[in-house]
Amino acid sequence: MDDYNNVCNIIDLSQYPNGYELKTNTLYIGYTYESIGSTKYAMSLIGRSSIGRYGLFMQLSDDLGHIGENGSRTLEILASLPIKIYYKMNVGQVSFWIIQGEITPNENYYNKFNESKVNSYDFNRAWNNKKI
Amino acid sequence: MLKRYPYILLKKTNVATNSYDISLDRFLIKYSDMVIDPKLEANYEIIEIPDEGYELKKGEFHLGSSVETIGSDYYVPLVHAKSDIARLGLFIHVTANLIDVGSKGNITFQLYPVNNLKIYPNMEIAQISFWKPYGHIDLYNGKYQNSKGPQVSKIYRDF
Repeated sequence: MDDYNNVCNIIDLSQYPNGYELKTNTLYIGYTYESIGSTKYAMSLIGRSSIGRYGLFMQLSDDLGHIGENGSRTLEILASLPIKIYYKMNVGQVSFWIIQGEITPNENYYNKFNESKVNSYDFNRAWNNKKI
Repeated sequence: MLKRYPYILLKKTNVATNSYDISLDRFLIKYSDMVIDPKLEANYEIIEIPDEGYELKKGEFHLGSSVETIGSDYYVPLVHAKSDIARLGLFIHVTANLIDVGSKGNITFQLYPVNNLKIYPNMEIAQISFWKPYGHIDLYNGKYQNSKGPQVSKIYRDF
């Protein structure tokens, strides 16, 4: 199964030292440079206020990460103003939330996908076909 | 060492079930650059909302600010739209609703309408909830401390 059937283009930010301009009304999916995870706390990943003050949505609606997840977090990015972004720019912030009750880590959903996504076969194939 | 406040200027009339209602102040900021470059200081204009209201056009981004000064040295404030406002299709923040513990000032709203709608000075558009942090607290003393009115992004200072 090719999870990237609906991907239009893949953009390598490291190839844009002068910044890559995000267009409005276009959904971009990115991922964090850092691996982030916890077996004890739930995570919330949101944008920094310095990003929000420029109208850049960083996570459209799902800020919550699962306990037991570890890896790059996928970012849903939408620009309400045309804005340049740069490779390795600080865009987000993670907070960790205490859980009440018994913890049963979820081991069979996107956490696996997140863990290996960057190196996955599908991603590489999509990359070779669609990168610009 | 910053002085510790339990809260700032909470009026009883604004206290709701789980949160504290806050209002939109009179001034808005609209960026005037064709493309925002985070490495540079942005250009912008200041707009005063007249008493008869100001129409936000669908998709046009503005910054606004709260009338109230908000902050806490003990709790982490979170900003949310009032559901009345969300039901009209107005985002009051686009990503960063988490306020640093120890920060004090007017809240900057990141206004993004998905419909054309009018806004008025002093209308209640948002609510703040306060969350208890766990562990040691280092109070915020960053670049948006003591904000008065809407504050544009200062991310250029990070580069």
